[in-house]
Amino acid sequence: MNAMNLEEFEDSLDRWGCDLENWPESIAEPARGLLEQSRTAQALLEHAQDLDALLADLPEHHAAAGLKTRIISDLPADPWQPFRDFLRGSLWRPALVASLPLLAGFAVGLSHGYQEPDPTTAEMSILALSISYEDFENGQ
Amino acid sequence: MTSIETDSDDALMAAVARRDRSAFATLVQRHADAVYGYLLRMTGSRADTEDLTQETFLRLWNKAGTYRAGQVRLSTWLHRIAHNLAVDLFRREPQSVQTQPDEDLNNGTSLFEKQAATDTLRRLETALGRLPENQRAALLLCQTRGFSNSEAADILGINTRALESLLARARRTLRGKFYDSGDIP
Repeated sequence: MNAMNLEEFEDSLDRWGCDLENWPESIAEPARGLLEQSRTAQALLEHAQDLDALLADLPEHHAAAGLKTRIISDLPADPWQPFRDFLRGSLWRPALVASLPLLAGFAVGLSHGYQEPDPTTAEMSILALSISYEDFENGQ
Repeated sequence: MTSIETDSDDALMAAVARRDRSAFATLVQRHADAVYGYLLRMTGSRADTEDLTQETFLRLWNKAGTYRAGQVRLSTWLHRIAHNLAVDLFRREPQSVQTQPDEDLNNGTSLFEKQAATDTLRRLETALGRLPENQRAALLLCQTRGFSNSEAADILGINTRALESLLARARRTLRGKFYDSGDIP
């Protein structure tokens, strides 16, 4: 265990506060050793505890009720709120959700339309053969 | 039976992200005092504090969708917004930074007079108000708002070691300003 001097003790007190349980253990241990031996260290700790106690005694400042009301009432209006309320409170919500895939299918179908598929290579070969056979039968 | 008043902050934030105004109102009732108290000691001005508190909650409303439950406590998230707004104010209007708390802090509030009508506490408040902003913020967050060092570092946007250095300087400076003014108990 490394010994700790008063300067290090005071610096640690300022960094981590009066409760040695909150100090890194590698520093708290020599600090406890110093506290057992040094009256000056004990006085520094008591001094810091007094200041912490005073800080804890500082009064809380509360927001006025009027401010809280203003914060709540000044929220920007939401144009979608009536629609949200309707969906939230009605039986239409599950029906609407269930119909979404159907609507999506319609949307996809309408956006693509019907297209004649391109002839494949096999289809082109058959077409070419049939034309050649017709030529053969006609004696050409 | 559950009611919105007993819902967790995370549940309420999920509701706010769905534009639920009653959840927002509950969060305002729950957190406005803490945000207000922090900002009042940071700015020293009641008017600025009211504006910044309102702006903090407006941002909560607008950015609720970006809040990630479980990653950070809502109070930490809110104080981070509030702190950034205070820093913006200090940059925008350096003359508005009051090195000494205004009358509201020292004399004007009946609560102060009722609960802490002692010269010692009043002078401590003044000494606190004279700390540099970043030191005051570190000390307020850790000492009076109960945040851990890592949470306070997160709020201030610095690493934990930097926060510890700030705290050390803050406590040293406060001790100097306070005890040198003849208030040793």
